[in-house]
Amino acid sequence: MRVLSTVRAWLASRRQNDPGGGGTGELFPSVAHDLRSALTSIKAASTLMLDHSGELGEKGRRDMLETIRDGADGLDRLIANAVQASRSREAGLHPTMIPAAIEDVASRTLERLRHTLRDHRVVVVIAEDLPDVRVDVVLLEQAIANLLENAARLSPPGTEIALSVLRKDGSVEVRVEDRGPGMDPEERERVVGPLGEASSGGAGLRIPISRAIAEAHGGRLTIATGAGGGTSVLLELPVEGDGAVQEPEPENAS
Amino acid sequence: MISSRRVLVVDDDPQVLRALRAGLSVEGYEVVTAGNGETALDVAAGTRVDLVLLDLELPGMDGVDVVGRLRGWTTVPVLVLSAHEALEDRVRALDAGADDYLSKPFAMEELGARMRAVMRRAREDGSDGPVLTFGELEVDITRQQVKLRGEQVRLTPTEYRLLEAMASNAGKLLTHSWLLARVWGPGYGQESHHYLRVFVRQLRRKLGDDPAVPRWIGTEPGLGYRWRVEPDPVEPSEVRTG
Repeated sequence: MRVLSTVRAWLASRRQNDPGGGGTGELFPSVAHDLRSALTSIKAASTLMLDHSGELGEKGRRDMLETIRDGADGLDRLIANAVQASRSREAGLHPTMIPAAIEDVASRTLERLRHTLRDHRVVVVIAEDLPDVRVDVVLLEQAIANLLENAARLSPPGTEIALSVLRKDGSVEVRVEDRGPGMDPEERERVVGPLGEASSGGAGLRIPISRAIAEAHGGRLTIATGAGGGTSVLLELPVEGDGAVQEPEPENAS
Repeated sequence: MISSRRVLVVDDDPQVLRALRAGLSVEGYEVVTAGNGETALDVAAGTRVDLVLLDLELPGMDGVDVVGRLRGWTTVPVLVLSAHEALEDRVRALDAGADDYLSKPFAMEELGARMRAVMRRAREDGSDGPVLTFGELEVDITRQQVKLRGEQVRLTPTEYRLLEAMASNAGKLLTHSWLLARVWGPGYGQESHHYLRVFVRQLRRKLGDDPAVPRWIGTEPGLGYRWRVEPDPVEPSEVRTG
């Protein structure tokens, strides 16, 4: 906690010196904190395994190994977010847009996050006949992964996390809802704030990066209170035209 | 027995080689390693190799060039590994003849499943029986009939061609362009990719394959589709489509 408050104080002082909040220096301490925290769990668990593997017992050893694996998964996503954050600040995100089936992106993201989500009950709702959306599939996968990881961290194990992909007027809506304690308006404001302003106390870069990705697609990200009282994050992506594509010639089944 | 299968691992990072050697030996594979593309080609030419695990970012010769050179004389399955996120590199490697792609970092469990899938395909190449069976699904190539739990599934000719293209290349990552050319013929460019998405959706619906947790038609957004040989190791607890 001391590290965290030092980082916060440092961020505050930076902001006073740089009212624009656009300084490139702010990002680093927040990322460094999250990197260290993931490395701390990896190092603690691996040294325990090396020195006390006998005393840990089967269950304990498994816990430690899962801690190491999850820490590594977290580091991987953290690095991806840090890369996009630095791109976003230096030159802006430049998505490579290709038409894609959004349910494919969602299913790929769920598959990659299965370890992170294993302690939650994941409910997935995907609308039929979703329109094609022009997206950067790598960035969009990252945006959805951030929302799911955030939900997993902000809500107790055993509770439900809902992912839905629905069509609405001129957009496709990707919503992730958890059954955690939810966020008060001040906290919401802070986590969707500009990059580098967000605290590293949990949300880190995840929501700001997802927001930057949504905006780079001409969409937006908003946070509300979910039906179950938890946090509900909505990512809206615009659909070009009416989203209709030229259908292939109809055929008869044989 | 899989114990005699020999895997060539090509990576310039000694730690990665160490971890893969340990992990693959546990799985019963014999492991040979190379630290760069030139050595990899020498090893592959000098000894029998059943699978190549190839990192794309190598010192000296580029990984994609290694795939191309290998394809000059061998059909050995090549599974490409890379920490690089750009889609273009993956497409280049697949177009050069790689069988599948896996992003670093990966879990050994996932690597093992992909390796088994591409090796199974290589074993069965050219000797496919008239009926391909995937759990409850049967694809009769001779009669062009598909059965799910014994019941015939009625497919349009295009749906069938798409299903057959994927099922007879199970485990291999098939790029959008390759599938378009195979199912619709030449002359279909990027603007036709949505045909593929439309027909994949129809096919999934008829096969009862959930898009959120596909059992058969796996997906790599932006790259292509992969017919799954093994079911997903872990599934979300509840899925609704509506």
